[in-house]
Amino acid sequence: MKIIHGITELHLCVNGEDRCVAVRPGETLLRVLREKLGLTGAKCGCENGDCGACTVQLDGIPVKSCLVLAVECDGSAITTIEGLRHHPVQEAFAAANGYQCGFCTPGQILNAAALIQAHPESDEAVDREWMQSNLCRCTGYEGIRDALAVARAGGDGTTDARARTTSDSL
Amino acid sequence: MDSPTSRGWGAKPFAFGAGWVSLADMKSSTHLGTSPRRMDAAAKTGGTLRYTDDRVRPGTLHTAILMSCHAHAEIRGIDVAAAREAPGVRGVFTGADWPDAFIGLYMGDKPPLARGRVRYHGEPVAAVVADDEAAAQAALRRIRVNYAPLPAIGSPRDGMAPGAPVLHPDLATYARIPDILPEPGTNIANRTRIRKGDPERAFAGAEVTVAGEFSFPPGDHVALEPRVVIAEYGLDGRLEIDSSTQSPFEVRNLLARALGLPERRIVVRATPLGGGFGGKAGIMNEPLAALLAMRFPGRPVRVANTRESDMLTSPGRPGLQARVRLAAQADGTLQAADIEFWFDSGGYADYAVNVSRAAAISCTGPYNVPHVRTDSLCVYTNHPFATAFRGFGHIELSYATERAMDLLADRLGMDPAELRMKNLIRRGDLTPTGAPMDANTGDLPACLAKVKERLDWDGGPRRVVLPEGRIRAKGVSCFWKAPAIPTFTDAGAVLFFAEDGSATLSTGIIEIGQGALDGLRILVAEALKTDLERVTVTNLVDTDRSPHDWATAASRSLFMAGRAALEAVEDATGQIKRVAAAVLRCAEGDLEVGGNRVFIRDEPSLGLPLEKVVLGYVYPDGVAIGGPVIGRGRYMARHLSGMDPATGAGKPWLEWTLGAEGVEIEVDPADGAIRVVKAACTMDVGKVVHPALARGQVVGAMGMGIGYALTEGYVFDARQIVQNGSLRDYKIMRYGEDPEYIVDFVETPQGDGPHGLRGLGEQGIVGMPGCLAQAVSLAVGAPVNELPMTPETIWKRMQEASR
Amino acid sequence: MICADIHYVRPDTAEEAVEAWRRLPGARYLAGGTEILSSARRTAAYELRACIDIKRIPETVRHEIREGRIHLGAALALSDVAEGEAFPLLNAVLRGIADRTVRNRLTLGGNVAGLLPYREAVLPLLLADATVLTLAPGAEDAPPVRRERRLRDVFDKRLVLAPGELLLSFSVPMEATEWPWSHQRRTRTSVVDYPLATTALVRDGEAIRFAVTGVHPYPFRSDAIDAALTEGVQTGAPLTLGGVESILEALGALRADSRGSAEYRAALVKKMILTSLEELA
Repeated sequence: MKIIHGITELHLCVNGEDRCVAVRPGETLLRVLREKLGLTGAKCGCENGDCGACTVQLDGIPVKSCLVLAVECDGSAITTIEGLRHHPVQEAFAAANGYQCGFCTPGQILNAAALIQAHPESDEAVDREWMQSNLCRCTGYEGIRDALAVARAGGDGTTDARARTTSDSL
Repeated sequence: MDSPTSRGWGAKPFAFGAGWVSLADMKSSTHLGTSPRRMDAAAKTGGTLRYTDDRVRPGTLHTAILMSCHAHAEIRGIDVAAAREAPGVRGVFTGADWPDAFIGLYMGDKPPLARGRVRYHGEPVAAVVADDEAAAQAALRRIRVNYAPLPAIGSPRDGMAPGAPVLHPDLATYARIPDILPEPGTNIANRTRIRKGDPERAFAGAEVTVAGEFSFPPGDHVALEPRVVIAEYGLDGRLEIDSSTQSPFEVRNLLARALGLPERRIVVRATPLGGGFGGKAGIMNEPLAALLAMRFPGRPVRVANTRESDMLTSPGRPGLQARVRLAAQADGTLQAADIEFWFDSGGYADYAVNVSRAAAISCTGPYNVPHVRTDSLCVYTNHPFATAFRGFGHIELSYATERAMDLLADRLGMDPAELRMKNLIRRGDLTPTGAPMDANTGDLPACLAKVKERLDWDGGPRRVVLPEGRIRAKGVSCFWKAPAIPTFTDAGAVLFFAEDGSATLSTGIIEIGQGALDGLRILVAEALKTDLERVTVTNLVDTDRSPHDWATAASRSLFMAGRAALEAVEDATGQIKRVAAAVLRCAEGDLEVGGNRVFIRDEPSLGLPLEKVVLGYVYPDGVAIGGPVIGRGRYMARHLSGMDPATGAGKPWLEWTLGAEGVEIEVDPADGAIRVVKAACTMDVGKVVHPALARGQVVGAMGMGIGYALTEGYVFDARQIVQNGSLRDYKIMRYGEDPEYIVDFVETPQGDGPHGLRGLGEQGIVGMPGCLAQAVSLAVGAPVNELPMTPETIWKRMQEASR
Repeated sequence: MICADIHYVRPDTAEEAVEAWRRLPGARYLAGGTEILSSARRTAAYELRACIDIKRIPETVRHEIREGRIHLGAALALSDVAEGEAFPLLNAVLRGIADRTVRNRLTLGGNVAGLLPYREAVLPLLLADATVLTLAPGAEDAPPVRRERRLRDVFDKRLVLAPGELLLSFSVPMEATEWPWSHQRRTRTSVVDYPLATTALVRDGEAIRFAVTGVHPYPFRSDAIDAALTEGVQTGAPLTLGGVESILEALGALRADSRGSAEYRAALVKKMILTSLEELA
């Protein structure tokens, strides 16, 4: 049985690296990532599990890090947006303008990456079930849809979206 | 100096230096109308872009704010003694700590912390400053406030009823700009009048008149990034502010007035934002943060909103009650409009006094109405207060006027699109403020025609009952929007260069997701005839270092900062040519800048690479001339005037962006469930600079408009306590609820816009509530005149209509 | 973030968990954490001195079929449960709760025994006559007591548990999972929201069983309603609107709140029942 009280040393596996941080039991994974490890890609959008801007992966599974205590996570592999480098899903979001202000984007990408890993083939019902976990206020979700399509197609940057965006000059 | 080669110019690139193109290449290719990858793509998809709250330093003091749990109450006392003793607490403050401070952009009516009474649910009552957030939050729970509740005003109408409590008894004493006309002794914070022609006579003689009342509650912007500000008052007496603001210069200006500090002692810094939508265009927590910082000189103080305080404490968007009467001839030609707008501004006025004014300026919607009488009021209520929101008065007025147009169409038995087409405002027609639509007027008939085509408007009945009982219906609307900006709105631009000859553009424009900086890059690269990679646009605005800019709002950034940037390019190329003329021994007028070179136009082999000139030119013998090239540009909106206080006459707008929108919806009569199948928009934007970004702005705005019309808006109880002040309860559109978006652009040039462009960031939201309400009303079989049109609302109206 | 100075305890057995609860007054069992973290942040009066993380206790993460029954641990995440193939009605109901990423943490026990009144996950368990296994602190120095009881016997709007009683798992007979079923869920606007009404119906031979939540707002099941629905099916008479009205009467006063009126909830439930009956016919 493990008991933690007060400031404690915690070992976390973050983006493949063994990190050691001093934490209080009440601190969320989100705050520890941001404030102790400088991994500010995960955002405090609501700290209530409603917006998804804090999404990270625990053992490859998307979770809302604002509702997870850091001390629960020793023994799990934590993946943040900073742990993805030139990931195809990141590339797809960049190529397809799957973002505007970018605040929700790390969460969207981590969720989408897990989604596409689990479901390489597109299925609207499944996509909706997963992606409705992440709010976006800027894009109206069209860019995000485009990004999913580009990622699944093995996105090389040319997209239907851009072909669609020419202006019909009258 | 170049050595001439034997190859003719134009055919192939010269074998001299790297990274430039032939003149032929330059002439044929253009960046305009391309959709290059955004500059911030890697940073935003990589999670490395640091927003304001990602830059907090160790040692920063943290603030927790106590929100009022009453919508209207006297504060009998606040006991902070226990909070002061809590561990880690450095100070606890209430309104009494600043007894004379008033904050307000256009009217100074708001104390930084409540004084004497609270006027809305969520008003900040006390602030705890502590070493860390946990300590601040824990201490907050020790504060005891003794409230004596007062009757709360729940609508503008109630606020204007006889005997209503006067929420601001000292209204007459508030500092304000002259355009704002409050009515002391009442809850009217501003009244804007439009009197055009002779509306009374027109109504008396009209063949047809219709009247209706329309309304919706206040709501929230719900930018994903909650507002945050970090303030530090240095030992040198300088105030430094890092804020999630769309308007760093406005913040500086406002703090100077509010704190009695000259602007030179204040610096405001802004990074890219996680969404703004107008909610970060006015003042937010900066005044409180500044006042707190002054209590802790030399230590940064952070005031960061939770989602709940971002919704309730900080301003949201206004609600509206409207009454619209229209008079027309039997053939549908509009004669007159008689309009009352009562904006629900909440407990304080802030920006909303200008929103109601903007709504007056545009009050009829984009229709030619010869006679207009409008009173647009900004009214105090005990709701969370309102600020600028996407559309700035236009989404509100459009909802009301489009509904009224639909009532008229119903009365006349006319197709609502045909009624609109008949009355669209065109070049030469007079706006409500009596000024003519000029040569830059967009082609609204073409926009409406295109939307109709996209929705197959004439392809069959607009209301169809499907076999399983669900109903499909279509609706259209027309919209216009002009920025309601001060007559002295300005933009500045500075262009400087690096050793590699590349250019850097600095403006006061904030990246809020809209990609204005990418648009500016295209304009500058185009003007310099160079590759995009050789133009950098700074994305940090610092009032000590950036050129002055009014604010990133009103969809004027690319227009005005673009003009300034082009002037800066011209200024820079002039300086380059001056140096090159000396070196190449020719007339300045013979020179051209392009392809990263400056060269003689008719002998292009004679030239210099830019990198040899932009930081001064060094002769072979070592003598240097020139100095760093610094291009300067500025722009002010041309010929803007104020409004006549009695009639509203004037020309207060920069430009009008016109367009049409439409939707196809599906409704289930059994439970009112509604799905937006298609949403179309055609907008005349003058020139599409970056098609993907332009589309993204319009699509995003349409999505927001769907939420505005169908799911959003505060719900209040009888005491005006907000029931849905968190994202658990306040629903914005989610993935899967989005329609098929159909976007088209028309390009009628805006003469004073760069390459003929005009603003487009907000406009896509403006017409959405109107066309959705038309479609829903058609499905229901009766007018639906309130928002949001939730399934229950739709179901209820269908029940009533079928009786 | 929890600003209180709490203990974090991670027991390896159920007995250790209950013992920890005894020694730390104001402790709460932590499963998914979605409710504890949200409540601790938002509600000043929320008492929390310690979190006892039960997710490593094997009994709470059981997910197996044994001796003709499915056993579902209380600390199983809803997403994991819904991935199983054995109990389709349960999967359907779980998929309506919150959103998927939250369901990757939100647990069966958290939904059934938490603060929120809806407890949608309990509907299929009630219909299937589930049993519930718990471990309760013993009196004074006595060892903790393991109990397995019929869910219906200990559920009245909420699971009636003794202070410190740890919810371990549910079990459901396999035949119940094979009954034809129907599930409906309605919200105010977005599907990601608390329910206005969630209904679940199953057909066990000729008998119909019905459970609803959101309208009171707590979960509700009654023999009288089951009987009325069953009679309709047995007599071969399609359930008329009048029949549904009597069912609504049996439901009593429905909730009116900022999400929906009582009248609308009633209309929804009517339609949901009729639609489900059509599906089950």
